[in-house]
Amino acid sequence: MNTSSRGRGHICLAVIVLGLLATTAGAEETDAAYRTFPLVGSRVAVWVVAQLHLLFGAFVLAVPLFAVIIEAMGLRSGDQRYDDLAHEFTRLLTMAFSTTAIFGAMLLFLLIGLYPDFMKYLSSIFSATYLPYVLLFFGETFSLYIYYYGWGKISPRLHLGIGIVLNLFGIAVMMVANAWVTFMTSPAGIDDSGALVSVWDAVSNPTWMPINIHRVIANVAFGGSIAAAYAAYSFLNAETDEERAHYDWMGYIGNFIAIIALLPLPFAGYYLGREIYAFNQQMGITMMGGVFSWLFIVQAVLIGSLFLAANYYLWLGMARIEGAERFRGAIKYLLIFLTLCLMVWATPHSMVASVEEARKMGGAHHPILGFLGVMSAKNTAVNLMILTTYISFLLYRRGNRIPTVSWAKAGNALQVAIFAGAAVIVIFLGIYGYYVEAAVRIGFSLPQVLAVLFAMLAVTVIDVFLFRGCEITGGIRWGEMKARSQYALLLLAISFTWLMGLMGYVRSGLRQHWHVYGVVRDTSVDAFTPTLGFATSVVSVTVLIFFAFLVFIFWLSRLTQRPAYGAPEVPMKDMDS
Amino acid sequence: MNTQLKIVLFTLLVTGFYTYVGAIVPQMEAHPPKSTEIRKGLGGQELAAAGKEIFFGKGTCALCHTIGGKGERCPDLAGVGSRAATRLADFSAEEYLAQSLYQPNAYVVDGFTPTMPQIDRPPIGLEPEEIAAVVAFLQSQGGNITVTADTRFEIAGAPPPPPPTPPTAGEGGGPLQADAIIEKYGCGACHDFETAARRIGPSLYDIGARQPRAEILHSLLEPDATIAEANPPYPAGLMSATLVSTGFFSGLSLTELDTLVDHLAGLQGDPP
Repeated sequence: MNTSSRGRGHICLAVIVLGLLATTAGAEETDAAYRTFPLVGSRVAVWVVAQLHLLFGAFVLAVPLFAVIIEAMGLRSGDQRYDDLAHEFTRLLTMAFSTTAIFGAMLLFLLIGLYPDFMKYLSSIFSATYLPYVLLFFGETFSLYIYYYGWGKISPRLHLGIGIVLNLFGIAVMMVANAWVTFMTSPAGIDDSGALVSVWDAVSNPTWMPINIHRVIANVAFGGSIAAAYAAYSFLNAETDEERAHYDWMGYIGNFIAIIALLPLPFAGYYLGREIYAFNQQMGITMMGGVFSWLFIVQAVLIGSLFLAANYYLWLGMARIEGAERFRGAIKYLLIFLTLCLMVWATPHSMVASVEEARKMGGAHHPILGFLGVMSAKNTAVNLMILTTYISFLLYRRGNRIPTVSWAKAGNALQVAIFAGAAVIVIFLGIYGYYVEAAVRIGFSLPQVLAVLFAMLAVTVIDVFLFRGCEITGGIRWGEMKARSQYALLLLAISFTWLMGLMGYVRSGLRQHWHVYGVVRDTSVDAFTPTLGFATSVVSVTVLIFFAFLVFIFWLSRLTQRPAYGAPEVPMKDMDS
Repeated sequence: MNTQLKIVLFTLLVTGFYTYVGAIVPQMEAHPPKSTEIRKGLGGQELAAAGKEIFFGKGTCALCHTIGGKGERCPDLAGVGSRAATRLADFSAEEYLAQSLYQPNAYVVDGFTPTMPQIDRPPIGLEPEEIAAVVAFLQSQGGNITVTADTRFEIAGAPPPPPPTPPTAGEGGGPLQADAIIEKYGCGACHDFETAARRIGPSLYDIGARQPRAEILHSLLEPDATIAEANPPYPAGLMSATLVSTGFFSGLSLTELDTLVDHLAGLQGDPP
């Protein structure tokens, strides 16, 4: 397979697409409010390109975040492996960065070409942000290249500082772009006629900060999963034990990052959802109870897959930890519990049934399962899944360690009590939710979330002190992982990517037949919300295109590690733990 | 098998599975609301009927309000036509209803939060005659209709109406509307929807006033479980057989069933 020619093919395709667009645009009247994209239509063209831009953008924003953290860990511990790992993660960035920019340019051309009136309006609101955006983008580009090419060439502390600056630029770029997107959902800073009153109010519209927070966390989870997928891809294609050991360890770190970011993600989602409700209750109801309500069942299947894959990977990983055998018995209970929670979470309130089936069932709400398809049950299930995943991680962490502190028994008992307490609070509020009005019930999500967060934080703090100076029962045999564990990592990456596409659809779809909600109406032929089946097909196609590009980038990244043509092979560094 | 091929197949398999999940859940297309044509000078039941269409359509009122339901998000509006006059001192039913639409948060019913948007503003953006129609519909819920399509309300402090929104573009398929369902399955052959007159089956023109939504749904799913008493009695088993023969049970989607039940629940008969 000639992947380099395929990569050139992608770029040629982009140029052809833009050329086609220019041809189409030129053939139509110059003052049209909308122009048509050939074959797939304007909406799908913008949809796919915007999603690809977002996926690559998320990746290039996320990787520097955790690369800097890993580099700092290496600097603090003096362990060169961390520094090498951070460098390897960063190697993935340079090509992905260019691809992000290409898709960004394509998106801009498509929007200006296909939606000229809408873009004219958006420019009338946000033109003041364009120059800062460009300057920030320059800042991000320069700091990225200094960060990458300066590796090992400048003082480590200065290098770390440049990494932090890179992240600040990256987050700032994201926040500016988020302002444009969130304004479309929750416009602010304009008068009744839609004219600009305050740029800052338009930027800091009601959903801006929730999206900023949600995206930073989600980007880290997504970036971690993609980095883990790279490691899995490399592990499966590795030819030596050293390579397998290295990529096994890299996959573990990527998965760890993804899971650590995944755990608080539902809470950021609550915050965003709450702000959407606060901005416009109708929009909130449309999201959770209207045309998009079934989307959240699909989301439950996806997040359930993420939790199962992450836990499965940890459980398989315990097989390579000497001493972790003692926890094997607990895995089946964790699996049963996770599966039950997932089943509850994915239970729809109204069953997918024909009228015939509904007659037999006595209505669209199943007499038993109907009780599980409501928010009280679902919130309880997802909070318990988070707690369970955290327990899996804790068991993994303890695999080859035995505490030696005098208060070990009391510490363990306290941790169990905290877990049990959090679970009792979550379950109690979940059941109590059935007996109160909706307005009261909605308020229960916060104490449920806080109980889980408190439990995770408190148990982590106790664990750190509990295992200080602990006895190590054995090493970790990096590289001795079953191949299916790597497919679990690939599943994580595919699911994260697909989930981002799905949630991008709902975030955008919430506006229904408005370009800017309540201000600029969509009068194009696409001014309707498509079916979920159509939307998921578009998401799938986008995901497959993204992974095709990603494979090319992975291949390119591994190419740089090859010895010079004709030179002898250089063995990789020993990766023993 | 080649590792690269395995990875490609695995990616296709997972993506295919998620696409499948997205395809098996109920499929709904949401189109922009249609405008209801309201003639100048329209009044009475005709105006209320137009208001009802707006209430369940363009006005999106039914997203939060019920008529004869539990009213968890916003107050239930069954009987609001007579209740409205007693809400605020010095406010007639008409004035109170108009204020609730133009300034929804000026007076909020105890136990509810001020979440209703102003309906003369985008994104709902009802025209003055459409608001008059909604007021007429609400008045028809247990009260007397006093407004016409030409009625304009003077609400203290209400901002001027916004500029008209561009017309809706794009029509599409999607689930059938209630009238189309009734026509498709020939319900009108046995039931009268306009008057109280009996046909082969009972009149349904006021079914929403006589039965709660759940009972209407049950009657559709199990037509022979409870047969209304009448002299001479209604033929048992006829409706089930008819619905089976017309393909009602096998052809109707759940969304359409929901639409039909909503429609029937909204049939309130003549105002007292």
